[in-house]
Amino acid sequence: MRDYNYNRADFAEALRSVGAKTGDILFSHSNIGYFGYPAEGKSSNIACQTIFDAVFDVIGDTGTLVVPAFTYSFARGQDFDIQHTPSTMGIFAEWVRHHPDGMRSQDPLFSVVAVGHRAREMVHNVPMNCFGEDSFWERFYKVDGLIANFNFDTGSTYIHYIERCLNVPYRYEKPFTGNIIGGGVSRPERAIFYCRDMTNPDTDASFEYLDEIAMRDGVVKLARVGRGEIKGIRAQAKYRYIADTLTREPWFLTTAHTRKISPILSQITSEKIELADKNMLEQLQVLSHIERGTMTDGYDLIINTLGLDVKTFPTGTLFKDLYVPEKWELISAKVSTLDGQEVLSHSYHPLQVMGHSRPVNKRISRTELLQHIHTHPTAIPSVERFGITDWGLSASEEQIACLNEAEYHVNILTRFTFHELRIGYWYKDFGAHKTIVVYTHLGSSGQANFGLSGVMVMREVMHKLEQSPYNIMWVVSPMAFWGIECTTADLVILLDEVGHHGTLHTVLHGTAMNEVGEMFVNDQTKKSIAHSNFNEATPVIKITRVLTYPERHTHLDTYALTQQHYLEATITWLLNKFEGN
Amino acid sequence: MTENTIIWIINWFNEHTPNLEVDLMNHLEESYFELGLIDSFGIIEFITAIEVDFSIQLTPSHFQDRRFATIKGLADIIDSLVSK
Repeated sequence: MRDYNYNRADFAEALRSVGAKTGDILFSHSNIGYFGYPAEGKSSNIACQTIFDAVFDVIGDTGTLVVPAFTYSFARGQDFDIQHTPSTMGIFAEWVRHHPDGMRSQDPLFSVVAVGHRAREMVHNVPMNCFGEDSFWERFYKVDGLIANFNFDTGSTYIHYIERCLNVPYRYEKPFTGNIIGGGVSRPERAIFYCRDMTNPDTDASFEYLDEIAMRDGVVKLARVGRGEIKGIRAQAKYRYIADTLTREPWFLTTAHTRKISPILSQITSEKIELADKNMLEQLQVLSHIERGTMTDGYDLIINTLGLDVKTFPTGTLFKDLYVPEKWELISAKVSTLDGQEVLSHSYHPLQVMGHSRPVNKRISRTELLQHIHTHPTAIPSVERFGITDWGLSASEEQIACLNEAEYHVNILTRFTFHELRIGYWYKDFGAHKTIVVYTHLGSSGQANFGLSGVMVMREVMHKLEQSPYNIMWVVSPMAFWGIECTTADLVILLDEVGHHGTLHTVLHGTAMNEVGEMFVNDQTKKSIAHSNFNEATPVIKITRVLTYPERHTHLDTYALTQQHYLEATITWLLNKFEGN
Repeated sequence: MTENTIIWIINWFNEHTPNLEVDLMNHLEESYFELGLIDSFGIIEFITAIEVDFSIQLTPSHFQDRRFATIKGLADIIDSLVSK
């Protein structure tokens, strides 16, 4: 009885029988231990060398081998060192990564290592969108490489590239930030991962069914080697097969298929607040208390309350350079001394936590804690940060001065889920040839003049406006998306901070070309904008009463600063403008 | 039966993993590869030991079964083969 399971020639023969040939580009997920022992020796190094040699026996000097060297670095909040960050893709992949001819891509989440004739062409200068245009995966698709999995099923990370091309509903683009270290230089980067909602167990990747039907339909070739097997399928054949199957079974690459369900991807609150018995200032007071950061239940609650039409944009939609983020839920947040005394807390004010902060639960030094706190001389500043892999707090300098302990315990509990950005809008078609679009935003929790004052003014204008030589559109968005979603109009008005004392300013804010705006406004205003010149810049004016004030962007910007007669004077001004006076 | 099989697997890891400090009973559904208990070459010895001690034959389809990489899942696979 022989004391080995395969040899170099066996392996090469198996590779040929799954379709590998001279000049091929192979991509392999591997778990080589399941092959058993090679005849060449019983060490892992010899096993790797044997398999590597067998691969090049088949693909030759003109062939290229690519293996995963994924690190998920940015998603883990870590920097990515191209040369040194290890991966956990198995001993063969790591062996290839250390090969003298190995070239590693600079992807901080899904790097790959290539060896061979076209290695540079496959991995050099890949973009920061992991599965996007010109990524390794697209290059691999274009050359119709062979996926040859060693003791893995038909599944492959390459499938995420296919899913992205086909825009499946259960995955979305999400930015992660960090530093990439290479050649002794560290540079900050933002990488885009086509991810899934990690809190939704129904959208977990599940490739067992794909393996079963692909084997059944003969689109995958299989060859035994030693105790294991190799499965091979061409990149373009795999693309076609998955695209075709998705049209019939849209969830077949997820656990939802196994459970025979169509998963719920996001849930929008249907609640709203009754405002009918309140005057404008009372309404402002009620709404200002709602915790309403970008992509929160509070924001959706106010959109429902305003009773506007709603246009939705799923998480991952790209507006210029800003991706629609996930829904953010703040469950609790506090900083305590080591003996348990609470020194900062979300229950004091919601702005105490940076909007879209990551969760954290650890004991840290005062120095490190202060590095994570945004400050303001006299108040708690309003801060939101998307697409960063970090946690944060906000505090006044007075609060900071009370932090005298050497160490603290910080515990921020937040949750991120797939959601939809809901843009509220009202469009009144007066049959005019010109359209004015007014943008307002909902500001931040606790604030009234910032954001919300403009909303309340336009809510009144909406009810009072009877005639206009213009078509009027009013848009309500989160602050982060204020005015970004539409630039197609004859005049754009940014309306904000109009409840504070001060003269009403109309400031030329610049001009905007219609870009992303077409995706939002065109279907609402196509009749009127058919008369507009799409290629000309749109004037943008900002209407505000105060250019700056001490409470601006802080927790002190409460409804108490806002006065009814300033709101009403603004309404009058806008009605005059809209009525062509 | 599964409990005895789980104990057999844990004992094997305890004997073959130097300086093992975790209580594996608390990690029954995590990948033993990701826990660093074994690498993809050490698995050969592990598979041989399973086949000898349980008098079963493991195949490539078992290796590709995602349950194979966890103590609990592997115990289920072993028990299903033993019962045949």
